[in-house]
Amino acid sequence: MKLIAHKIDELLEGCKADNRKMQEMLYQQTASKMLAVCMRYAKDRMEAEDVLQMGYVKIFQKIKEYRGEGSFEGWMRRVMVNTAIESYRRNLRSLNVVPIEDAYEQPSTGFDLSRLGMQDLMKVIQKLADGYRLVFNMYAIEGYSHKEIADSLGITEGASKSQLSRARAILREEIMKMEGIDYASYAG
Amino acid sequence: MQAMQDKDFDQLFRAKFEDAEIMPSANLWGNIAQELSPKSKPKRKLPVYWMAAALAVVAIGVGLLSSHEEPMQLKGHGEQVVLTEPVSVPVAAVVKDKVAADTSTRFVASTPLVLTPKTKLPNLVKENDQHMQPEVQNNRPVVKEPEVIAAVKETPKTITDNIAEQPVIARAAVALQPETVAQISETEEKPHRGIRNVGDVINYVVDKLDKRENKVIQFKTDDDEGSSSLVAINIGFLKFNSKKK
Repeated sequence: MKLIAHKIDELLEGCKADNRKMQEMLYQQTASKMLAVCMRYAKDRMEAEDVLQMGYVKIFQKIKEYRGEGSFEGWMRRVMVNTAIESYRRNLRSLNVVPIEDAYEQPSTGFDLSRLGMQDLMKVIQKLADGYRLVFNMYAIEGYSHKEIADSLGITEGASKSQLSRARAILREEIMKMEGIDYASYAG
Repeated sequence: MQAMQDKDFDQLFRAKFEDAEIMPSANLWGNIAQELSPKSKPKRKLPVYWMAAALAVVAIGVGLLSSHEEPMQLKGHGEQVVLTEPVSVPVAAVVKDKVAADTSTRFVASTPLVLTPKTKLPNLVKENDQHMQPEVQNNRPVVKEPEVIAAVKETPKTITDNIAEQPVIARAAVALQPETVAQISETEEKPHRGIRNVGDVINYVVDKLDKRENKVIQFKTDDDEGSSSLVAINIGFLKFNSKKK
């Protein structure tokens, strides 16, 4: 553990000095984790890899600004999330216009998340409309506050809250459907 | 109750994604590395492009040079000089000495084709005989007619003098033509001074493409000569500039 930590420091210094070898090593060590982050914010793998690429370019350009406050991985994740939001806002399509789906409150019993793998949950999240996906990711997984979300997405806190609850409702429904298929396949 | 459930729900997702890893495509680092070094890339690429561009321009230039020189502007000037000089002499002779009809007839003799239609022309018009025209080579009087009229308008005095002298006037008219043509051709040439030869063309194209002080290739273009000479080359490692002392 100490060895890895030391290596990260070493890589950091190398990257700050624009050492291409060190940059590549840092990329090799962290890219798969970062892609998992990007995938949650993107519609598909292609979009996620675009964000990943832009994110790493930004990381290497701004690495000198990292002062060692908080974990380096956390800093990298934030850069990735910000890049995802930027690309989303650039491509967009207003956040307030969200396709109306029958998002009704579902009794949150009867499904077991632990039975679903990460890939399944990824699929469900990627199926969400852009606004729901962003807010759910930022709040539920990254742990941003509604105020932070509202500021970075340019929406109101109320909108952030309502998007979050709708996102949860849709996710629950989708997971129920998946479990139903699962049970059916087990029964059959 | 619902809030707790939401928190648990979120927590479950968070736990699943906390250590999630997805391998990116193999070529992605290559793309990032390429994006990280945009400064060094153009430096390597540009000279190659410039060299290719310069070669293309030179190739086109050589093609134009070989075809461009054929119009032979110098010869055109030469003809005009030869024509105008002998003509000016007979005109002056006619005005000063009417007796010197002998000299005029000598010149007339040199171009019999022009003479014959001119002398018979007034008669032909009066008789309005269409049968006569084919006998006396049809095309020439018709074509030269306006010239004769022009000549008559310019120098009406000479008409009254002699029929024998008429050919001389006709000659003057004919002689005027090349002069005016020469003047027209000269005035037409002047606006084209901007790009007159291949050197200008290349300089223009290179100037558009290469904004540096030392161009990829530069030609010195003389106004007097139709030729152009290489002044400067700047293709990265290869530099040549005859301007520098």
